[in-house]
Amino acid sequence: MKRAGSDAFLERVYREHGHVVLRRARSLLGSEQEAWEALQELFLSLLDRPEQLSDPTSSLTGFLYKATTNLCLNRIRNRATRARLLDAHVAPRDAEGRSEGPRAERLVMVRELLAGLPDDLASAAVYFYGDEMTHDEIAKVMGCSRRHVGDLIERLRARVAMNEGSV
Amino acid sequence: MSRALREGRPEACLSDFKLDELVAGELDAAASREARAHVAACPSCAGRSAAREAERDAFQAEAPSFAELAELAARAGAKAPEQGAPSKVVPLAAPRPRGRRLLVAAGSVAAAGAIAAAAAFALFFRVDPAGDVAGDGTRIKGGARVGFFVKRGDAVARGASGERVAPGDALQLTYTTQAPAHLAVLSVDASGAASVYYPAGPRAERIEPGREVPLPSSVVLDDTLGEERIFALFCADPIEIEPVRAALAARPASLPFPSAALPSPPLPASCEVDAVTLHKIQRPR
Repeated sequence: MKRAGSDAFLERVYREHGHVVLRRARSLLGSEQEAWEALQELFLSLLDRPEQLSDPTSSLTGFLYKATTNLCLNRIRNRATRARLLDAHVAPRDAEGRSEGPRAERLVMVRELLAGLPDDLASAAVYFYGDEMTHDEIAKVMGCSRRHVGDLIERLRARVAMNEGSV
Repeated sequence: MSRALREGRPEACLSDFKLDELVAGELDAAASREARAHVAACPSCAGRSAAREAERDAFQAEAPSFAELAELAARAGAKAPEQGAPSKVVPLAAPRPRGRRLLVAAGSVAAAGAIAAAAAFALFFRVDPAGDVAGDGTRIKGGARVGFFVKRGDAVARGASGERVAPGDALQLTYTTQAPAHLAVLSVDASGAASVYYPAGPRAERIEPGREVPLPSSVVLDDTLGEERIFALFCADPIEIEPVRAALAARPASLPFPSAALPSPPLPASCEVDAVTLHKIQRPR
């Protein structure tokens, strides 16, 4: 597929791959409305800077995975979005304010984990824990070496273990 | 938690990324052959692959056109957001369908019908915590949860807590659980009315383990606007539902209804609860 940034090309990318962006955004953000906004934001960015698509190290799907992940992680870090996610996903609490849903608490923990990580670790967390990608696939999407991915995963595991220990 | 965070997909199965590349035709010949051979032999991956193709068709039918997107950009005078800069997008409501059927049950997707086909999509964050069983064995193992799909006209989409819905929208509730349980689903709307969505009988009904298993019938939303909270109780025993419903209904209707302040239903000892919130609005015609 041609990588130049003509509007016709971008339209084809939007029609044929927009569903991937929407699905990822929906899953990461947990909101249909925000997912559509993220889709819009990503493609408006491509309209303005189509050269972003000219990345020879990654497939188009890989680029869209990366771009959507980065965009959504930025939104997750936004204070208002975090507060809404926490509010929407915390299970009902008892009279003492303790959460009564272990699964809902863990989902909040995962999103909290993302919000507190530096960019590269947060992205690796999404690909490794969320997408359950192989190291090779993560390297392909992130545009780095497999060895670097291994380092990121080890650092990530250490952070997760630290979080578990502090709970 | 680190183990539980990564135990959603069998090792041999294709990742979502590889499936997306396969559907997009971006794998090289050898990788494509290998992936197609696996899909042909694996019902789960075959379903996921078919669901992706249906999802792409649905997007092409439902999403605003690229020209509309470009027009929004021109109207808003939006420039591409710089890294970390606030977005200048125009709030874009999830669109209505354009008169084409959204989803078609295809290939080896197990269930027929638009909502059931949408229910074949895999979850993204497969957070399945290890069993949380108390010493007396009465707690339910695993992270049981409730989910839903929303049908508006001919369009079907996965829903998430915080979803904006409208009167007349149909909800297909689903459950996910790693162990058998007895399920009851109740809701409290903005007027304080408490309803039982599932089951039809007076006691919680037994369900078998499964992921995003649709309940037997869907729910059509009434015209009470505002916030509605749906509770799914996963219980070890077939508890009586009416006492829970009555307790929810007894909450004064004059109380404000932010989801964070909503009291939980009285929870029998053998039950675990998951909840989602809907924001019911009146959509302009």
